[in-house]
Amino acid sequence: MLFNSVPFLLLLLPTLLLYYLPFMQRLQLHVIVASSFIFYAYNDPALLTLLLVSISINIASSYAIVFGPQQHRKLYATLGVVANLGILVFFKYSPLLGRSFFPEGSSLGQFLVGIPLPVGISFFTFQGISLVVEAFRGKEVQEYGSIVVRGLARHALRIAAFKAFFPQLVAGPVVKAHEFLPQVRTKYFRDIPWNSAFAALVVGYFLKMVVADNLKDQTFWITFPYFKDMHSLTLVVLLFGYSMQIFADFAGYSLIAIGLAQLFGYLFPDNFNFPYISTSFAEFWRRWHISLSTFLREYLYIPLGGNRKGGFHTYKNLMLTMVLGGLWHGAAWSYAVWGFFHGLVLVVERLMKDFGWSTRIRLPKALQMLFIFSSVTLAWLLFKLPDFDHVIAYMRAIFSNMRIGNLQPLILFFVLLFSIPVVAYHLIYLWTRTPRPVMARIKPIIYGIMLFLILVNSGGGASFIYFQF
Amino acid sequence: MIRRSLLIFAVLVIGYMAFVKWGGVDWDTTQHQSNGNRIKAEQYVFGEELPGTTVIVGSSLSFRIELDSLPRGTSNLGFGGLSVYDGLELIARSGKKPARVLIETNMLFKEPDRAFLEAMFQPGLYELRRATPILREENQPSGVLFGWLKEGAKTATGTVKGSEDSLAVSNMLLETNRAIFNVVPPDPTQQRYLTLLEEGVTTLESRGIEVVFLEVPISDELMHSDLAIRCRSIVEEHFPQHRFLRVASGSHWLTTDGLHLEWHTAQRFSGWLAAALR
Repeated sequence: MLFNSVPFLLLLLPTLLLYYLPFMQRLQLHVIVASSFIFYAYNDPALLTLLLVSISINIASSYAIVFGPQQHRKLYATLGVVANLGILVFFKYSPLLGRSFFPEGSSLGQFLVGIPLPVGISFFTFQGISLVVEAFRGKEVQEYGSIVVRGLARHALRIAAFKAFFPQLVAGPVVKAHEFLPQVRTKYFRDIPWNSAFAALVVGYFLKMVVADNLKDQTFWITFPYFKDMHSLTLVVLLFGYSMQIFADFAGYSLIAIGLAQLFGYLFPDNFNFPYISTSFAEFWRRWHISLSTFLREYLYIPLGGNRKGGFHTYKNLMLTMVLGGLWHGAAWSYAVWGFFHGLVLVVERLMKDFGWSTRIRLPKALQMLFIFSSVTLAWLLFKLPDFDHVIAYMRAIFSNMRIGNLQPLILFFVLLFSIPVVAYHLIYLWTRTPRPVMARIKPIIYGIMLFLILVNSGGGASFIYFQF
Repeated sequence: MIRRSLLIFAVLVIGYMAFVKWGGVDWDTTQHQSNGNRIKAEQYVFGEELPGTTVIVGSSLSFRIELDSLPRGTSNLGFGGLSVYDGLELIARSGKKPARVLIETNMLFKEPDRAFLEAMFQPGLYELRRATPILREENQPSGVLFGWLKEGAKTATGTVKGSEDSLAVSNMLLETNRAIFNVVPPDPTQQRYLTLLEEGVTTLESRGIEVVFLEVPISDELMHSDLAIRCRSIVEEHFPQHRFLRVASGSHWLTTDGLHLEWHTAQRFSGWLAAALR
């Protein structure tokens, strides 16, 4: 079910009503769980089985870690993590393994390739891992102490709500157990932060429905073989547009999720913090898909040793984290290459810092931003064209197609037009880093215009790009 | 903040409604192919139906037929990237009753796009669009703005459709189309499409609508391809009683990619079609 569909509205409104009815207060978590199951099962009821299995595994393992025999804590934690990863690997990577390591036509290869990818699996299994790990570390980290409560039924309900909570179920943000579970308590209608929820929902829906969905119909041309004859400038603008689209699509989804969660009394951390103003790759990853970056840092990079051993080990850990992070995005080798690219530039950046070169080579901030943005944008090509040959063909076309007749002014116009809001979004942020009282007066006008454009200028509805991950 | 935002939103909506009603927007507001398809579909479904009209259903091949040459009230439901079956279903779901439907035969083995029709007839939104023109695709501000700029540029430079570049054949697309037209689908697949076609024709005829088949000219080479021959023979074998409009082969129809008529040639074909329909 899509956030921008009529069935979703028909689910959301009664859910909110039931949730806040005074005599339903004790059943708020039940309402969340029931609605979330309907939300998830809407397009394919069979998928609910997998979600239930995943929830059950996490309920059992986290409860056993805290209240089971203490000498087996580590075993339960290991089993919990392995089970979560097993589900993810089986459903997400079997087709890739089947294609890569089994001869075409072999029965096992065909079986693996035919395994469907359940929507949201990458997100809810990572949440499961965070639950198991935090339950295990509950004794050492005070913040994690209240994650697992006594009473299996109560615990099960809380975990089902945490894992299935529909605003974040299918495309994140990857909300960790310690960010969600301590917030579980009776919620009151009067406590809804209306202004903040309204702002998140309007900006989120605007980014998704007006910006991303309209850009999608233009960036469609980054498809082999259609782009082969296009003019270099058109190809560069299309790539720029795709960079804007992927931001608008995912940041939009995250904002909708944050706004919806606030309507139910839950506060999610920001998932995007104006990433395209970054002046380094490290900063980019502190601003882009923050919930995933922090997850990878906390649950992969640091356990691998992080930067504790220094030098080569740090670089190796960075590379490994980014390659696996790339593969998390999709079961194709191009995603691993995309991760490798980001790992490599992070390593180079760190090397420059370690050797003191970065202080000697200082570019103006605007140029640094432009360089990081251009590099990140170029790498998005691996997202759009998972076949390397097509990526190379695209790059070759950029450098060779100068025939003015192939300029495609229509594409140029619409890509640039629908990119303006994303550019403005970042520029306004930069401008308002020093307080601007005028913004208080301008904001209602901006929100009014965004609402109007959502109504009259939404693009053709489409799934969110990150659903495929 | 919320109240003021909603107030501004309401003012914009009312203002735009007035603009759409009295602003005299009569230029092309198409932004891209699927938007163009949707505009055409909405104009057909929400528009007024004149008595005795003709509707063309087809793919991007029919898309290029110029309505100016055809009798007044003719509608072109030739959709880029879609199939004849989408057009047929659109007529059925709209409840409209044209006097005659021309069915393009070149791309009979193309899958209908359910998503297009589902989006078009989404319950609630469909009724809303019918009642509120600002919600229709043709009135999107971005398309209106682009169309207005294009009109302005045209007036300033005197440019007309069909530049020299439209004569340039895309060899890359020609190769792709050659490959497509050399493959005839297996019999069960052909049967599936034939069933769809027969159902569509039966539905139209049961409502008293005349059905005419139409082969849009393509390049001489592709006209003699396996797929083109098969599509032609399906119509001749299964609908022998129906009129089947075809141009004589060897007329050297210029295309941009082997399939789609170049602009001037499309004009010529539209003239031929108008004469054939008389």
